[in-house]
Amino acid sequence: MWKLLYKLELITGAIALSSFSVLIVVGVFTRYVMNFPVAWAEEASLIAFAWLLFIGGAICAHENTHVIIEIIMPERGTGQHRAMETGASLVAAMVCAIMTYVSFRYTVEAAPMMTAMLRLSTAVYNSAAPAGFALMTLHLLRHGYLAFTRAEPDHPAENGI
Amino acid sequence: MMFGWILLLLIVLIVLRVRLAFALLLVSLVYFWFADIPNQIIPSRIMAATQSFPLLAIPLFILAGNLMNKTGMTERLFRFSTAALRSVPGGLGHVVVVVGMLMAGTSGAAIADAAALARISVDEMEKNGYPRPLGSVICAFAATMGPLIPPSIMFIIFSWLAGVSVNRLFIAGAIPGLLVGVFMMITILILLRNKQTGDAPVRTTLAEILTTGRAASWPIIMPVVVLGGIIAGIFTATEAAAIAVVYALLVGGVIFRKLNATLVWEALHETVVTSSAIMLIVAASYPFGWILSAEQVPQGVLAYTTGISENPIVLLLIVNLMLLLLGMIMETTAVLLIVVPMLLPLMASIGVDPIQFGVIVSANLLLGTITPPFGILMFTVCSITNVSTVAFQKAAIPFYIAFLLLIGLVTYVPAVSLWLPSVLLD
Repeated sequence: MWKLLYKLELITGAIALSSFSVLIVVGVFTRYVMNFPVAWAEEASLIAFAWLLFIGGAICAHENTHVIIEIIMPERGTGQHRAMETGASLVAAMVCAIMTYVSFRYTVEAAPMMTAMLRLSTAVYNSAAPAGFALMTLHLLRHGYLAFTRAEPDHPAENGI
Repeated sequence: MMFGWILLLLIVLIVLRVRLAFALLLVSLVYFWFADIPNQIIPSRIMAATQSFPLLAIPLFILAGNLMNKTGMTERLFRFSTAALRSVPGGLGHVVVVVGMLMAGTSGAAIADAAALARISVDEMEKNGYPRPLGSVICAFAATMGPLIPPSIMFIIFSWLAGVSVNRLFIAGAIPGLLVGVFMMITILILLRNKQTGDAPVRTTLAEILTTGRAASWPIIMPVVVLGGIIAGIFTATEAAAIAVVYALLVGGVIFRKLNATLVWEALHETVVTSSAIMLIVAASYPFGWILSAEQVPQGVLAYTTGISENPIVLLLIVNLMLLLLGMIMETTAVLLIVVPMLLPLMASIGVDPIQFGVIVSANLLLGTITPPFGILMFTVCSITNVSTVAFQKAAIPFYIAFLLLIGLVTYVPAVSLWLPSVLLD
């Protein structure tokens, strides 16, 4: 189930990234070559960007690639390392669970507002946040569980970009 | 007072290895709860960050860089630079510097540049008389040109924070970026004279230079297309990034015929992960920035710092030292997002142009990427080349001095960063 979820997230992220790459190029092409600027391309790109950000956040949570500042570096596999990984993952999962609720409420409240060009509900991009945070919560809980029960989690922590 | 507790909580969370984006979100949630402010502001600020067109350039420049690395463009640049510069004393060191410059013009991320340079050049440098730690140092320092020479992810984030033109900032970084390269080449020549490297010149033929130059012509043209389009006002930085992606796809797929579905998928995957990790911090820092404003932290910093001295030279020195220290212990994006909003009013009060300040901040933070304890470029290169960080730092001392000289130049000579944009854009 986790593999399927991860694959779906990867596909969604790749589609979002490809979509706004294409949309921006289309915007430039129509403006200069066809002398007909496509005004909605920018808005559509930003919708795809919002989805990339939050689904990408879930992928990072699965791969354990969210940026960490390593001030304390316990040796990997030791009890201290596992305890810290478990604790940090559970705190992050709690934050994401709260953010799921808060951003869901915000999405619902802002839903009657329309986007400027496409005249779509703002929920079309705002809903990326509760969806992404919910997925992050799941991945972080799983990571915390794996760190607690195994000597090594799925992926070692990244120490920056 | 409240902000002091919030900052303390943030530090505790970071020490306990809570990922930065979640630590920033948690302190924002705690602040809004205690201050009895509706927490709906948090998602509204986060969504505002996702609806910024200039920030779209970040994933696009990362994708363009990944596609170029997948299609062997870096190797082509390396072969051409080797043919052109092997006849110069200390040739391979200069080759790495020049390849670093050329790569900087296509990719916005320093880590990818450092890793690619280390992989292709350190073994070759060792065979030609460069001690392995010195070769590693040259690769890491050459990669610092990436965020200064446009396009630059650091500049995109800074321009968003400071509300300045990203195009202007891109152009402002060009001369300081090239100066990093010049300073490095001078340092290599000094080391050569002091016999710390034994790289002897090798004669290359004109035919060799022409052949490798033709093979590398497509990657060399890419920065010209990207920057030319921005300078000529044909497209914005975000559009230039999308054009760079199409260019990399066309060159890699149609001309070099190296790009296949697997490589494109890998590039997309890496881009999604890298850009989301950065962007989630940017988005999470937006509510934190709101707290800084609400607590009047920038005004406090301004009052405190000008209380120490009102001399702009002294104030700039203090700011540089602070940025250097923060760059050494914290991740660069985090420092940018937390510190820049605090320091902008101070810089305005002493008459420092925000564009120049963007270059000063970036140069300081870049030095932090090659110094312990959080020198991400140093760790990246050392892990690839199997060099200890102690050996790296010993070999890096002359380059640290050269970089500090550059920071001094960028800080106290505004024309270094402001002259080129004034000529090209005004």
